[in-house]
Amino acid sequence: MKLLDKKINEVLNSKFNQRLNEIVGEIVSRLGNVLGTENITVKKTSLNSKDDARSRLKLVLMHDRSKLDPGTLGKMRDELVDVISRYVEIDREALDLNLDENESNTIALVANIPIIRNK
Amino acid sequence: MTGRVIVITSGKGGVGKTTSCANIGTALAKNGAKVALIDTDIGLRNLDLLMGLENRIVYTIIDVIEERCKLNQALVKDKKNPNLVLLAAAQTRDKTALTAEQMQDICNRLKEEFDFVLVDSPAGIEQGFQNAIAGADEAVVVTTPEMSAVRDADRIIGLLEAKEEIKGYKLLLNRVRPAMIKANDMMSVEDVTDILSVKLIGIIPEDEDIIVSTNKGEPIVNMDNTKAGIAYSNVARRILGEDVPFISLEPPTGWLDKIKNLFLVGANS
Repeated sequence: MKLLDKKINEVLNSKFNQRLNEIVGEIVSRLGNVLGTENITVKKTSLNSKDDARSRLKLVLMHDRSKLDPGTLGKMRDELVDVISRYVEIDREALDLNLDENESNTIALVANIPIIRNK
Repeated sequence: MTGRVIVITSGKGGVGKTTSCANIGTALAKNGAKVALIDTDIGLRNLDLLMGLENRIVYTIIDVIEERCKLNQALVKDKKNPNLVLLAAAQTRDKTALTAEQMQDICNRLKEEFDFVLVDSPAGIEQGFQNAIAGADEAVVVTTPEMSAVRDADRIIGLLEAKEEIKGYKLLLNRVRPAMIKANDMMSVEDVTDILSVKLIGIIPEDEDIIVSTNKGEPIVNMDNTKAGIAYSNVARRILGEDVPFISLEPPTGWLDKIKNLFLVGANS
């Protein structure tokens, strides 16, 4: 029996065993990630920031291409409100004027104007 | 002979115009074409460094237009390939030293002698850029999958479209990191081509060997087995009309492979 104990100790001290411990450690930490106990580390490896880049870029390019900056768009929106208000009563705050891109890559000015009631 | 004048441009600085110009030019010459490279970044010249020719520059493009030398005297031969020459920019002047008409004239004279004239454009959209595109028939727009570079590329594409003489342009997507694309942290090749609605001429993966290549003054297409070198050679072949498929962008090993490697190392030690 003592001989067997000695052998076991030898194995435990061997370099290979250290490797094995590292591997087990790696597997345990990975499993932790999978089971959601260490969500933070998972998030660190991927922030899914690509979608942010895509949508921000699309918006800024629409403004660039149409040569309409958000300030000009706001001014236009205010003037539109004035003109339309002469004919119909509209909800001034709810008027929504935006740039939009359709399938053929052309840019459109899209307005959503909720009418309260006819004058 | 009437060669093709291709301007390499980008809008944003630091996306790889000069590197792309040096490598596409070298690769075209390796395929047997006669190639002239023109650096139009007057005051901030670098193409000579990337080609390793900085010690051989005697005359520059400004010496040619101010008639201190003949055009042929200002063409510096490449160290390896006699089919490849460089017309350097002046370092001590600025962009106003050259006009669009003068640039057009130089391009027209060079394309009688060379199959390809590659023009390395400076960053920006001002005079330097206008000069660079003045004599061009085609353009390669270089960008990286970053928002600022893509936005600037879109602006450049708008300006190129407004110029009738430019018959076509294609996109070169540089410094692509497949692992980040896979992790959804970098826009993919399709994302960029969709947003810009433009055709691709090449995809260049991010490659540390580019820095080594610049250090040595040796274009990466002359180095064996580099990711970026292979990608640039493919760009040259596409420009020559060959139908070369785009290289796969599979990211290198994941954690499973790492564990496998650990086992292998463990078994060996």
